[in-house]
This record gives sequence, C-alpha cells and structure tokens, in this order.
Amino acid sequence: MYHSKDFYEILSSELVATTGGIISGTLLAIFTDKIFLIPGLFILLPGFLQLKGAIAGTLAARLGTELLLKKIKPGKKSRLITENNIASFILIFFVSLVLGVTAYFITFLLFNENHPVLMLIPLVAALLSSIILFPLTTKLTIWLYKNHHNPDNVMGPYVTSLGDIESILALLIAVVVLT
Amino acid sequence: MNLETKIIKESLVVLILVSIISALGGIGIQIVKEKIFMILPLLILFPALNGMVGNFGAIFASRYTTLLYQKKLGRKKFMNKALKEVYFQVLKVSIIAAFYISTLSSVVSMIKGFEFDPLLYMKILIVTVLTTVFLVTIISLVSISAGGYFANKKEDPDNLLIPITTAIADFGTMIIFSLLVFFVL
Repeated sequence: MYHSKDFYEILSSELVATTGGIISGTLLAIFTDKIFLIPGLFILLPGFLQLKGAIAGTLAARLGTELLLKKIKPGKKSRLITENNIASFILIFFVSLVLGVTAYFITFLLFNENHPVLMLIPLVAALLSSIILFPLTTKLTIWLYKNHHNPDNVMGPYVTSLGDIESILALLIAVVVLT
Repeated sequence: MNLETKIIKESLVVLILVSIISALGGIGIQIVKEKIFMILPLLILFPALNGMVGNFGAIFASRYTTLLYQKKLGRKKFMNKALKEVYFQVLKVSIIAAFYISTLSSVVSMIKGFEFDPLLYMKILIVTVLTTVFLVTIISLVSISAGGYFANKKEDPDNLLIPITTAIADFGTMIIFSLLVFFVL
C-alpha cells in the first residue's frame, strides 16, 4: 500500500511523541508519593500538560506558516520570530496563573481541601519549562523547514512530547520546592 | 497593532477558557484517582493518551490553516480532496498510535512488576482506539467549521484552532477515560 511522505512524517513524529508521553507516565508512576503530597494536582495536571502543547504548538504552527509563506527566511534574523516568542512567554504566564487559581477553587469547593500553593505550582513550573521549550521549538521548526520537512506535520507531536516530559519534571520540581 | 499584541489579543481568552475546561475535565480524573494509581498501565498511559489526541488536533488544524493560506481549500465542498487526504492520514496514524501506547504502557508496567492480564490489555486497547477515532473525527469537523468562521472574520486560525482542538481533545479524552476507568475497570 502506498503512503505519502506526509503519512510517514506524521507517523514517525507521533510515535516519538507518544513515547515521550509514556516516559512522562512512567515518571508519574515513579513519583506517585510527590503527587499525593498536593491534593488537587490531578485537576491541574491535564490542563497544565495541554497548556504547554497549545502555546508551543501554536508558536510552531505560526512559524511554520510564516516559513511556508516565505515571510521568515531560515538563517536570517527576523523580528517575527522574536515577537512570536515574547507573546508565547506572556501567554504562558497569565494562563498558568488562571489555571492555578481555577484548580485551587475547584479543589477547595468540591473536595474541601485548602492548598493555596496550588495557585503557584503551575506558574513556577510553566516558567521553568518555557525557558527551554520555546527557544527549542523555534530552532527545531526552522531546522525542519531548512531540511525539507513540513513543520506542520512534525512540530505538533514533538512539542507536546517535549512539553509533556519537561512539564512533568518542572511540576515535580515546583512541588518539591514549594511544599 | 504589533504582532505580540495581536497574538495575545487573539489567543488569551481562548487559552484561558481552554485551561478552565481542562481543569473541569480534571475533576473526572481526580474522582477516579485511586483506581488510576492501582492499575499501573492506566497511570503510565494517561499523559500519552492525553497528549496524543491533542497532537492530532494540532496537526489537522495547522494543515488546514496552511491549505487555507495556500488557497487549496475551495469554497463549494465542506471537505475537498486535499482535506480528505489529511483526515485519513491522521486517522490511520491515530489507530497505529493507540495500539502502540496501549502495548508500550503494558510492557513498562510489567517491567515495573505489574502482572500482565490479557483481558485488561484488550479492554485498554479497544477503548484507546475507539476514543482516538471518535475524537479525531470530531476535531476535524470542528477545525473545518471553526477555521472557515475565523477566516471569514479575518482572524488568524493558527492562533485559535490549535487551542480549541486541543481543548476538545483533552476534555473528550478525560471524560471517556474517566468513564472507562469508572465503569469497565
């Protein structure tokens, strides 16, 4: 059966991404004692994992479109790249704060657990992991385009894979530091 | 308006809504938390399943936007040939990936000392495949409808479609996953 280059790009990147997800799950399984330290962390976890993917994924999609439309040229400095990165940092700061506050109130109102530290955990963890994730996403998107791959097919899965592993590690560090 | 302001203005509200929806979906996981900790493959599978469906949303949405900007979408059909090709590519990969994560999580659990149960493995496999196929279809339909709407409003679908599709993916995955854990396991 014939499959296009796009199919193999999506398949290979998805297998890498899900392996990243399994590594994150294994980290969760190893550090279950840390997760149990903060009731309500499971309310936070899915939103936190998807937040990194959504913001970095959007960053990669925007850069991918701009590369394909030749608005950004690989190897050349571009204001578009800097502005895209700054916007991503501002977005992650505000959205992780909202996520923390939401998780705190849900835990407090539905499960009768009062842990204000829940508001700070996603903020600290998001800032920790974004320092690596956003510059890496930018470099990888440009590198893929330069090497004749379509960033649209590959970047989404890579971003979520990297984001998942980084996020779980950053979250565990934030839990240890803040509790 | 500079680019940062434009991106933040277009994305912030959607991302805030998405994170609140995800936190609400997390309630389901919080309720079945004890079972997830008891059945090791579920805990190991959870981030992969959660991210996987979101990835398919991101791929479909970004491919849709690129086709839109390249003027390859056409105006008459809801899903033209180019878009159908993207949908079936994503669907095929989703089935393979669902099989892969179900198997890999069971193998890792065995290595960690969790006893292998073929029936449990089959249950996890069937539900993972059905969940991904169902959600990939929903996400594709939403991407096309919402993408067209945003394009008509002269807003960049790149900034909005990925957060929306990943939110649907996450919320849908968490609800189905929680129900599965609650009723089947």
